[in-house]
Formats: sequence, C-alpha cells, structure tokens
Amino acid sequence: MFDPLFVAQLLLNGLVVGAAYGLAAIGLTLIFGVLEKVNFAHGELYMLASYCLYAAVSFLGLSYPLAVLLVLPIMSLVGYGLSRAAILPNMERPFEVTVLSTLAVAMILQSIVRLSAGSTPVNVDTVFETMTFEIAGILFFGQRVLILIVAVLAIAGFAVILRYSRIGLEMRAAAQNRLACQMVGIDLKRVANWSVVCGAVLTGIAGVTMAPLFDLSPDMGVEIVFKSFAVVIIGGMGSAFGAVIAGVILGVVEAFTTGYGSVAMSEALFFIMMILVLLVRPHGLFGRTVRI
Amino acid sequence: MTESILSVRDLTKSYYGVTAVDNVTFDLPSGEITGLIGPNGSGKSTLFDCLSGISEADGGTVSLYGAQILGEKPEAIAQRKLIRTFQNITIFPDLSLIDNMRVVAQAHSGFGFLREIAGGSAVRKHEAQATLLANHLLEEIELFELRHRKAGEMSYGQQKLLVMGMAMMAHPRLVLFDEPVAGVNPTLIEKMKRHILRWHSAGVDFFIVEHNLRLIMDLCSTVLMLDQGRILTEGSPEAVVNDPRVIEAYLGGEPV
Amino acid sequence: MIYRNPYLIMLWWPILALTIALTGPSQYILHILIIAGIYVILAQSLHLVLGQLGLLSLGIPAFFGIGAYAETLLSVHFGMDNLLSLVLVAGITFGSALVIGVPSLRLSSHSFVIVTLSFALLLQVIAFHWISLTRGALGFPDIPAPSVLGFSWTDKNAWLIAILILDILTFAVFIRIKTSRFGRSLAATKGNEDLARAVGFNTFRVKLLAFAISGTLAGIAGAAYAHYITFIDPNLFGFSVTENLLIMVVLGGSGTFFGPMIGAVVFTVLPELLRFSPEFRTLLYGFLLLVAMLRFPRGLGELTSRIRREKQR
Repeated sequence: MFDPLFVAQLLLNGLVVGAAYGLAAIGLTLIFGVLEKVNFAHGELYMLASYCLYAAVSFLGLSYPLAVLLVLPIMSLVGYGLSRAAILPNMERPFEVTVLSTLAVAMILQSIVRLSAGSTPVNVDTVFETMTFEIAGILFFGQRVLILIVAVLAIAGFAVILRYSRIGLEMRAAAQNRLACQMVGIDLKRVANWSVVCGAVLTGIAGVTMAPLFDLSPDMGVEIVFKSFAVVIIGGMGSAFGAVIAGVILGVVEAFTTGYGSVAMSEALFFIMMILVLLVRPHGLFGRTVRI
Repeated sequence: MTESILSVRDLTKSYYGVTAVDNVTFDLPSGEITGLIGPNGSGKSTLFDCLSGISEADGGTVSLYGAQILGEKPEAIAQRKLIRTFQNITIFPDLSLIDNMRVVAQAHSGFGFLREIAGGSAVRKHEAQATLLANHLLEEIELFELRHRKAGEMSYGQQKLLVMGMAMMAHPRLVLFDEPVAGVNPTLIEKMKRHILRWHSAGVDFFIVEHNLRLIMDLCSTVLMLDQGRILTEGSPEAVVNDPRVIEAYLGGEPV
Repeated sequence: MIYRNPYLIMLWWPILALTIALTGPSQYILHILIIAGIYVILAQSLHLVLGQLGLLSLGIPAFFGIGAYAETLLSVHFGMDNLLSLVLVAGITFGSALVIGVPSLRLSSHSFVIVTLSFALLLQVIAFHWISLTRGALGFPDIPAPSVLGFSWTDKNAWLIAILILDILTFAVFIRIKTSRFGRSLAATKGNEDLARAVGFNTFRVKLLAFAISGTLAGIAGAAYAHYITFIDPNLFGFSVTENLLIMVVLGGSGTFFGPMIGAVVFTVLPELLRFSPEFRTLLYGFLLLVAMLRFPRGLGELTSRIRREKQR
C-alpha cells in the first residue's frame, strides 16, 4: 500500500496537475486582485481553449504545437471581448453585477460549444501522449512532463511581466489602490483589459496542455471553476504566488485522495479545505500581503 | 469625585504597523458633555471604533457602567445604550426619514424576529410608541414635514440632523458623536448645539469628537486632547485650548 | 385600496392559470403551468435573499435537491402521509440552510457567492456517489403520487391546483415578511449593514433567518417537483436551475414585489411557446442576462416602478 514507487508516482502526477491548476488559477486571482471582480466565465475560458484545440487538431488537421499557437491568440481575443462586454462596463457597480454578467458570458460560451460540437465527450490525441520514459521505476508520461515544463515557463514568464514590465507595474498598483492610479494617470481600462487577457491566455495554456489527458465535454468548465475557486481561496484571493502554491498543494492532495480513496473524496476534500481556510484564515495563505 | 460612565485603561490599537491608539487611559465623567480634540490622524475615530466595537483593540480594558465591553460586537454595545455616530454620513438612504428613526427603536424593542414577522398587538403597540417618539424628535429637529421623504434625498445638513435624531431614538445613556457638525453651515450648528444641550438636560451624556473648537468650548465641561494616539492633556476647555502643548500640536499638524 | 393590496394582487397568477385550465387545454399546456408554478416558488426563494438582502446565493439548487431527495426517501421508505412529510422536509431544509448559512454568511460577499455555489456542487457529488442512499446516477424513478390526508392524485388539473395553493402560501409568507417589521430589518441590513449593527441589529441573525426561510421554500418546491415529475437524479443540484432562476429574478426585477413571480411565469412559458432547444435557450438567456446587466442592473421591474414613481410626482 505504501509502496514508495506508488507514492512517488502519485506525487509526480499531483505536481503536474497541480502546476496546471495553479496556472489556470492565476488568471482568476489576477482579475480579483487587480479589479476586485470574480470572473465566473473562468471555467468556460478553459473549456473553450480545449475545444479550440480539438477543432484545430481534428478539423483543420494541425499538429499539436501549431494548434496551440493558433489557440492562444484566439484566447486573448476572447479575453478582450470578455473584458469589454462583461467586466469593464461594470467596474463601478456592485460586484454581483459582474458575477451575473460573467455568468452570462459563461452561458453563452457553453451553449455555443454545445451547438457546434455536441454534448458527447470528445478527445484530443497528441504525439506526446505516446511518449513515456522510465526513471528509477517511475513512469514519466510525455504529455505530463510537457504540462509541467509549460506551466513552469508560463508562470515564470508571467512573473517576469508582473515584476519588470510597465503593465505589470500598473496591475500591481491597481491592485493596491485604484483611486490613486487614476490620480497618477494610469489608464484603468487598459489595466483591466490586460489583466483579463493575461488571465484568459494563462488559463488557455492550462487548458491546451491538459486537454489531451482527459475527455472534453462542454460542461467541464463547472468543475474547473470550482477547483480554481478553491485554489484561489486557499492561496489567497489576489495573490498569484499563493495560487501557484495552493494549486500544487491541491493537485498533490487530489492525486493522493484519488489514489487511495476515490474521485468523489478528492472533490469533497477540495471543498472541505476551502471551507476550513475561509473559517480559520479567510485571507488564505498569502492573501493581502505578497502580490507576486 | 463624580462617578464615571466610561472607564478606559491602556487602550491600544495598531494597524499596518502604525500605533493609532497608544495606551489611552481616561474616565468619562457621568452627567457631563465631554469633548475629544486632536489633529487629523491623531486616532480619534479609531478610539471611537474601539469603544463602539467596530474595531478590535489590541489591548486594554473598557468598562461601561462597570461592565467590561471590550471585544463585544457593535450591536451588543449598542444594546447597552452606548450609541455611536459616524464621520461619513450614515443613514439608510432608501428608507424614509421616519422609518430611519423607527428602525432604531425597533432594534431595541427586544422582540424576536419571528415575533416581528407574525405581528400582533404588542408589536403594533411598540411601533405606535416608536412613531410617537419619532414624530416628536423630528419636530424638535425641524424635519417633521419631510418625514416621509427618502433619507437619501436629503441635503448633507439634513442628513447630519437625522443622524442625531436617530441616535436619540435608542434612549441612549451615552452617545459618541463623531464630528457631528463637520461641513455644516453656522446657523444649523447653533441649532444642533441647542438640541444637544436639551437632550443632555434630559439625561443623555455625550462624548463629542470635533474640530470646531467653538462648539467644544460652548458645550463641553471637560475636554481631552489626543495626539498621535496618546492623551496629551485633559481638563476644562479653557485650560486645554490654552495649553502650549495643544497649540503646538495643532500648529505642527492640521490647523483648525 | 384594492389595487394596492399585495395579497390581492398576487392572485393574478392563480386566476390566470385557472382560467387557462378551465378552457380545457392540452396536457402539455397544463404541464407548463405546473412547472411555472414550481419556478414561482423557487423565484421567491431567490428573491428573498437577492432582492431583499442583496445576497447572491447560487446555492438554491442545494435546497431544491435536498427537498426533493428528502421527500422521495420519506415517501418511498416510510410511505407516510405527504402533509406530514412536507412538514418534515420543510424542517430538514430549514436545518440544512442553517448549517450552510452559518459559515457562508460570515464571509465576504465574494466568498459567499463562491461558497454557496460550491455547496450545491458538493451536494451533487455526494448525490452521485452515496449510492446506498441516493441510488447515484440512476436516480429515483417511479416516485409515488402524493397522498395528503388520504386524498391522492395524478391528474394534471389536480396538480395545478396543488401547486397554485403552494404558490399562494409562498407568496403570502413573502408578503408578510416584507411588510412586517422584520422586513424593515432586512431593508436596513441591505441598505447599510454597518449602520444597522451600530444601531443595534444583529445583522448576522437577520441574514441567517432570511437565508433559512429561502432554503425552506426551495425545499418545498423540490418536494413538490419530486412527486410531480416522479423521477429525480443528482442533476437537480446542477446549474441549469440557477440559470433559469437568475433570468427570472433579475430580468423580472429583483427590487420589486412581483417582478420575480412575473419573471418565473414569463420565462417558463415563453421558451416553451417558442420551441427553443435547451442549448439555444441557454444562449439566449446568456445574451439577455448580459444585456440586462449592461442596461438595467436592477432588473426591468425596477425600471417600471421607477417610471411609475416619476409619474406620481
């Protein structure tokens, strides 16, 4: 039962999935940190990216890397659209309005995908899936290694942007004090658009790297948004660093509960952990302090 | 020595690394109107926040007629008849003026929620009494004609008056007034002074934070001065206002 | 002032429904009316927390599902009189709402929305996997017809009357709450919660009671649904009910008395009349909701009541 190889395998799988969870959740926590809005279309962005990948591979016949390169600009356009349609117009209104408008966009995206691709689950195959290699008795699947590498690169890239670029500075400033930003001449609309687009692209990256691993269905967004919420809350709303850490923790926890228990238990565990954090330490692990 | 209605010992509150209230100790004499002055940022509102339960103090004790109230929730402290008003206008904008008044009485009625949903003669009777008191107070503060208008439509000065009336609806023993006349025109200030004196003679004590030194001099028998979270001095208004340390604190900080 | 009395105004819906029923309509039309009646109860449930307190609770399906499953289990395993089971179900959902409400209402409004949604999703997972209790994905087919004080029915006309009675009771409770002094506590809590507390209200308890009553209404709707449709499965806890409810309450007007009720009827009947596929309906609803948020954040009902007030000046 406690076979060290099994444990190591679970740990590895958990790290991989956790990195993807963290990557996906950065977008959500970014929008919350910078704009103080909750994006309920988050799960559908992930789902849309996966389906665009599927369409590119299955109907356009593109290879996996090319398909990914096609999907990412699409995701930034969708992110821009989401920002202009659902988030920007409601900046000064109570946040429930943004919840409802992003929910509306989620409904629109989900039904578009259902109408185009049907409700039966579909699958994407990539060449990486067949690659496996073994080190010290632990199986490394090509796609999972790719996920980990891409996630680390994407997170690092984002951290660089946040730390060293002009727009990253503006995002951090807006997260601290929107009024002060307006006074010094920071264009909040630009910051809002960039935040949402960044979030959409990061989530899209998570979606396209994870897509080959599981079946895709139009309602997969619900589970994604639920898990992303748990990651964001546990990591601390507004903290990208916290999102990554919490994502990895939850990925590993999920791997172990699934491995030793069941899928249902891992979902229940996500929820219980989220509730516990909210009751004991509502700001999560890193909320309100570190931004990066 | 007059007994004290409020006894504060070593009250401390810091946030974001700044000590806003620093070991504050004082007694509020019963049957008096006491003033609290100090430059902006000296910790006056934070002190009020700690006393009324809005903020959790880091240390010290506060006793109201002998009962320890530090750490209690704002609603519990209000039920003890310590009512606090706020610097920014706080009224219920969508309720009418008379409902703003009556809702305060309702909070102190002692009825459970299910009772209030069910209604009944006791509830109706309480509501009728609350309406009588509200009408009476509204007449005193000259807002009676407007009583069915929405509070959100009133002017700034009218809303400040309403806040005072609402405080009285709770039959308070001690009212903490946080800058009650800030931004109000001089005629209205004079009226507000008269209201406070009238209510005081009916048995209500006041603890008033104000920058308007004229008001403090006219109303208060004792004045406390707060600077950088510490009590600089306390005494009669004349003594405090002429204290060289007070003058320096004000000149060195915000002018009145 | 007859036209001002809300208890009389609310009768527009039962009168309309019964009038239609008296013309001898098809079973299909009766079915639509009954479903509309169930949604009227759910809409009031959401209205109580969203309209009266500004709390966006996405957890209504949690109580809808608990009510449905509790009623089903009580009927199937104990065969008890359904008036008694309805009372028990009301108690069970009230209790569940307290359990869910106590942690949720302490949180910031952002977390509240997330947690109430998550509770519903969690219950869905539990319903799928606690197979010994809920039969999992198979669900419960062949739920027996209701039996109240010996009187049983399956006829749709009888169902319509039963649902309309529940609607009248639900709405009467809602009107009573809103016009009572507790309704004023709700308004004060919604208008300025910090002030309400400073004035002496225990706003947490105010919110908790409203939340619990809201959950109970949803549970009663679930119990009725179970007996009428005679089949329940874990999808009851899913998001489609919430989608419909948001449209009904928000577009109907969450600031008004009757908005959600009108919304419930309109948005049950209209999609059926227009024969939309479920996907297309969701698409349309999404657009309507988006536009509504852009133009009328407080719903169309608020707009009409504002116009009426302008005319009165």
